[in-house]
Amino acid sequence: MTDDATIEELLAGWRQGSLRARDELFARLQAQLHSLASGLMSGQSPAHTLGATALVNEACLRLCGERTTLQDRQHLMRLAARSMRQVLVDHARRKGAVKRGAAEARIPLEEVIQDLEERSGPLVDLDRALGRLEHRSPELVEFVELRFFAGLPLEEVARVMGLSSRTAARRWQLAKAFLHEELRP
Amino acid sequence: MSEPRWREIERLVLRALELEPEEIDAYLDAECGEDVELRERVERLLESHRLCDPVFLEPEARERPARRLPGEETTLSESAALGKYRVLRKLGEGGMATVYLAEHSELHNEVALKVLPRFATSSEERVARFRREAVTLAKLRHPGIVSVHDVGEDDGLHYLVMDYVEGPTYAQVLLEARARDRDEGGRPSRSRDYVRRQCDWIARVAEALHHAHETGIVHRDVKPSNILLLHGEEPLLTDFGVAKNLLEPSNTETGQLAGTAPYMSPEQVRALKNAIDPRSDVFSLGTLLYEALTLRQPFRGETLEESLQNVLHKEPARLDLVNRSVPRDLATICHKALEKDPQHRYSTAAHMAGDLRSFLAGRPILASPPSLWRRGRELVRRRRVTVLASAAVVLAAALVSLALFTRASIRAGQGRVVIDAGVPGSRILVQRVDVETRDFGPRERLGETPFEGHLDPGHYRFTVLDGGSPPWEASLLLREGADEVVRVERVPQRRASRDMILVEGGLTSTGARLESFYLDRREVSNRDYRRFVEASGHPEPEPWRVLGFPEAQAELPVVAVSFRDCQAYARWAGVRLPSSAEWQHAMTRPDGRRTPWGDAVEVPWVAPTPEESAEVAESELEASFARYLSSCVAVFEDPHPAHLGFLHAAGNVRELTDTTEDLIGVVVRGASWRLDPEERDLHSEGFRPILTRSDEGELRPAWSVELGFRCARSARVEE
Repeated sequence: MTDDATIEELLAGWRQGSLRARDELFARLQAQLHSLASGLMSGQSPAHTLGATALVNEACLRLCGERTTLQDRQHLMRLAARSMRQVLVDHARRKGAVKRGAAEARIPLEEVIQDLEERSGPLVDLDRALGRLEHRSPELVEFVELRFFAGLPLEEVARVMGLSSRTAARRWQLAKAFLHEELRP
Repeated sequence: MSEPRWREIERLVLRALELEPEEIDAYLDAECGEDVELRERVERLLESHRLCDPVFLEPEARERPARRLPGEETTLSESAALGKYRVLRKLGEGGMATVYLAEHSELHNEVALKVLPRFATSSEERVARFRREAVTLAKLRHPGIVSVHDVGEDDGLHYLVMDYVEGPTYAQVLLEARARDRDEGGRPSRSRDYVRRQCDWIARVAEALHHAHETGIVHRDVKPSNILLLHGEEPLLTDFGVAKNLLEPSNTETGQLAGTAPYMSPEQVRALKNAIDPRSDVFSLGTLLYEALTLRQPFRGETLEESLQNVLHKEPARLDLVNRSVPRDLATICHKALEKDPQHRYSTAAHMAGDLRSFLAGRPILASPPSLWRRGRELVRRRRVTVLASAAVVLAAALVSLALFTRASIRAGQGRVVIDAGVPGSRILVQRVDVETRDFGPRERLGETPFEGHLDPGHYRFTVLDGGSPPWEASLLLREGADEVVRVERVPQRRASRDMILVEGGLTSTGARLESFYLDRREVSNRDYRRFVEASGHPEPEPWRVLGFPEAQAELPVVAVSFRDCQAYARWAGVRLPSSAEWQHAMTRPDGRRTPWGDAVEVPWVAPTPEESAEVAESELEASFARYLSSCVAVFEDPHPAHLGFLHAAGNVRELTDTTEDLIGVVVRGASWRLDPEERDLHSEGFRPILTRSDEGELRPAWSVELGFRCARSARVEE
């Protein structure tokens, strides 16, 4: 785990416009995301490792591109998880398009997506269902992003969201129940 | 696309997820009333939760399931065919299987099909267990046991063919009894007829079980939902899914927990493989009898862990005290079945059935009351073990009186109490907690100071009257087997230095009568508590010991104190904790509204956003303590005091009270920095275990970084 005190300083630096602070921050974020992503895919094939790296790179690029004001580490985690969702869903969408069009070399993320879809059904559908959940409870969407797309353990999600573990467990059940119902044919 | 009532729906679903399946209906009845639309939405989400595949969205799910998209029904549709049977409708769903009503395609007779879900057929162990149940049950032919006729497999679906029993489960019957008690006055479940009907049913279940035992089979999961009542009258035992065949030792799953938590016997909880015998089912029969007669489970805890602890260590409150229409003999039968040590229980289910029949016929019973609640004089009166001619019965009787003899000499369960209030010759009064009302009962005379004596385990409040000054009080939870010396001290200067507010007694909003009392204006702070620790040598709270005293935050409410710690502090300070009823009374306006929050669920909040300091923590303890430090404010600061001037009734920390339940749990009131907005419902009581299990498996006093306390004392004592 990175040194949090320094992350706080870097965040402050970036807020004041320091590009060096931003780059340093993302180097650290990358390490953090990587451990998230490999937690998600541990025990998987080398293709998955490749997939994790690709996921992290893309998620970082996306975060860097946004001129978001990062407030704190929790905020950073939430944004990172959201980026991972966007990257994965975009790829899943493209994959569908590719299937209909010309053949293309397997992208590293494909394994990751396949792995996730075994537990969720098509990511594109899940993304749409999350859109519907967003109208009701943005917090539950963040929960799903942290838990499912970033693969954080439930206790870690609870910490990031500032919930007791009991409350977090019930929230997670509620989010799953909602999505499960939305995804039913 | 948004759903305007989502917040309400969310609140109901989150609550319902915490309830037992059979409690949900009643809960939704109460919450939704006539609002059908709301109820349907909530039920749809709960249904969706039940149907959720265990791996759905779970990142840790390693084992790849057979490809099954969410929503793919595991339920068989109507008129689906399984072998020679046509499915008519679903009857119910258990943890292991789904039961359908079906008919034979040629004979057209109705049967029940118990079908193992498809995803479970990938587990050889589960299929094997399922087939084992068939073989086990096929051996049993008894009017009190649901018969199994056939077993089959169709397209990978395994099923059992059983008699179709038309009628509710015992669990549904108990649920209805609960609802009737709530809706109709006069508690129908306390009627003589009701009590006798339960005895008859449970005697029949016991006889059926005895038949199974004689065949060498222990059921291991006797509970209300596994008993069907044919036409609502005749009990039939079913679901031998986790039964153990005593004659085939290879069948047992070593060390594996089988059964349902609040109904398991202690030896089942300990997973003592060789200790499981018919007496284990006798214990479960005892829990069943207790639940049928009180409509509450004797060992039910908030969590699985707590339920298991209760099975092992908790003595259920006396049945005839909880339900006063239960005659003493019947209570004796029930408590004998519930003995922790199998040797003290009925040796067979038939013996228990026999005693229940004797009770119904007005004959003397075989069992004697256990020691915990035996008084000397009753011992003499109740020594009427009837000796019958049967050798087996004589043997059982011998065992009973042997047990009686050894237990009679035990006085170790009692705890020593020393009361030294300064002025010799002062009168001491004692109150015990009434199990039913949870409140302290009338004051009885105990003796004079200085007093030293032994008392049974229990929750006591002592009052010392020394003439001139207001009475001195002390509250004490005396545990079984504890050898504790408790001092009730007389410390005028400590008591006088407290900032307390007088609360006039009277009728509470719930109709109880309260005496006038004083209550601390604010919560006890870290500084206050340190003064006590330094003066008395009482151990520091765990976070102080590990992380040091929070010098800069000395005015924050003290936390991480156990119920026992709070009582010790209060005794040292010459005061006591308020009861839950007193707490509520103090925070309720004369017009019945609660303050400072009125009757709104939204509470004016005094809790800053937690800072990031928690994230540098090295341990769980440090992290949670850091969050407490950054989330609470000084006990003196509260812009929203209650109407009488009490601070932080709704903020900072939740507060322990002097109201306990069955000596294992304590009621907490108020709200803390850690609660979610929807949990800040201050009208309700929280419930915390008094003891908890550490990572090493040791029982220790429970505490939390969101729990503190304030103190109270009676204004005067009406004699």
